[in-house]
This record gives sequence, structure tokens and C-alpha cells, in this order.
Amino acid sequence: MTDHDDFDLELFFDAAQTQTADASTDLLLRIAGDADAILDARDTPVGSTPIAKVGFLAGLVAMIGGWSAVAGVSTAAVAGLWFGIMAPTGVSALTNGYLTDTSETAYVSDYLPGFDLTDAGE
Amino acid sequence: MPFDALDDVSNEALLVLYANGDRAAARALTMRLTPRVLGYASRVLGDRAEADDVAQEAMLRLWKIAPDWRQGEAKVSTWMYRVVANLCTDRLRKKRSSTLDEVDEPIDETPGVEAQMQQQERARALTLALATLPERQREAVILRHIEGLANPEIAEVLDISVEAVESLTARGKRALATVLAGQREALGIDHD
Repeated sequence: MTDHDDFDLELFFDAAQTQTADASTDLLLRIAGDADAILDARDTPVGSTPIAKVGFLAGLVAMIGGWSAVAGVSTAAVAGLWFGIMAPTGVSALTNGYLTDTSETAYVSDYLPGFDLTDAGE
Repeated sequence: MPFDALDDVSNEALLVLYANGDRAAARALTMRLTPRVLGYASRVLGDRAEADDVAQEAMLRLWKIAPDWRQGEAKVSTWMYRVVANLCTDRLRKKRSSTLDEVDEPIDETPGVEAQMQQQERARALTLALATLPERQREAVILRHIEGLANPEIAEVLDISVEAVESLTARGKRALATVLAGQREALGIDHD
């Protein structure tokens, strides 16, 4: 490179140095806003995050062990209802024996056909 | 604290003040550093909108690192140039297809219409010529001859040796001279 080339380039560099990149107000505000946001986030105590309010139903569910426990309770309730409606024959006979006041008396042999009273007397 | 009271405070001290919660220190750093990082990013990228984004991102990284800043280990300005250089590199890799016509007009501030226009034309021609250089050469030339950094500081910014900086700037200037040689008359530069 010759000295002349160097001289030429200095003119260009000088020109570039006079051209300043003025930051827009918007950019300066954004940058200052970032600085504030960093401080705000840092100054917020860790425990100050509001705890979500627990509703009555959610509290109840949590108290009995969560939604899986709710499913178990529901299953038991349905099963109980089912047994109530579709009572087994043997159970009906037993309950009839206790709950009805008729001359027909229920005997043990009604429920246990293989049971022999003579054997019981021995 | 009055804004002017921070004029004589170093960048490093301002950063420590900011880390301790001083918002005025952040304002002072913003006003002081933003034009520099914006100018550098604009020249490297040749795109003002992208340079705005890079400047904001670089300043955001400064705010984040403030609590961990260790005084005496590095200059804030050097660290900033380094961050901007890396951000520009990332962006340039993403947009290899930019055309020279997209280079923004430089911002004028010199008095005298004719001289002002000539300065603007030269600055614009230099920006266009810089865009033709390989990225590292461009960065080294801008840092050395426009931003006015010393070679050891440029070496720190670009994470290379001082010898490599000298080589990059020498090759960059040769390439610039070649590109700009054909525009001497148009730019008002005599041949002899």
C-alpha cells in the first residue's frame, strides 16, 4: 500500500467518525426499562409471590388424598348402590327372616342346606 | 442523585452502583454506552434496525452481569464491544444475503451543506466498502480506525492476538483502498 492510499483512507475514516449513530428516544427508554426490570425482579422477595387461593372443593379433595381418592370413594359408592338394588337371593331370605313378622319361620337349614340338626345335637 | 453528578464517575463504578440498586447509574450508563455500541453495531451490520436490537441486547447483558462484575479485571467498554462483536457475528451468519443497497444512510451532524454532503458520501462509501470485507477484518478495521481502540484492546474484544489484529487491519485497509480507489472522483478526492 502506498502513502497516498493511506491518506485517502484517513479521509474516509475521518468522515465516518463525524457520523454519529444517535440512539432514538425509544431505544434509550427500552434499555433503561430493561435496567429497571432487572432491579425490580431482583428486589422482589422470593416468598412474596402470592399463593393461589384454594377453593372449597379443591381443599376438600386435597384433604381426602387428592382426586385418586375421590375416584376410589366414587367407586365404592356406586358398588354400594349396586348391591342395594341387586341384592343376592340369600341375603333377601335372611333379611326377610328378620324383618317380617309372619308365621313362616326361617330355619338355619334354609340358609345352610347341608347342615344337619341331629349332628348339632351331638 | 443529580444526573450530572455521575458525569465524572467511571463506567466500572457506575456498574457497581447499578448493581447496588442505583437506577440513576443505569441511566448514566445508558446515555454513555448506547451511542458507542449502536455506532459499532451499525457499521458492522450495515442495518440500523438490527443494530438497535443488538445494542439493546448488549445493554441487557450488561445489566444482568452487573452483580457479578469484578472491578479491575476488564473495562466495561471493552466487554461491551466484545458482546456486540459476538452478537453481530451471530446475526451476520444468519443473513449472508444482504445487499449493499440496504446500507442505511449515515446520520449527519457536521456544519456546511457541501462539506456535510461530502462527509456523508465518504462515510457511506466507507460503510459500503466495509461490507465487502470478511467479517473479522471489518470488525478490526472499525474498532481500530473508527472507534479508536488500541490494538491490545481490539485483541481482547475479538479474542485474538495483537499480531492477528495487526494482520487483519492491514489486510482490511488494503482491501478498502482497492474498493474505494474507483470512487475517488465521485467522492471529491484528487488523484495526485
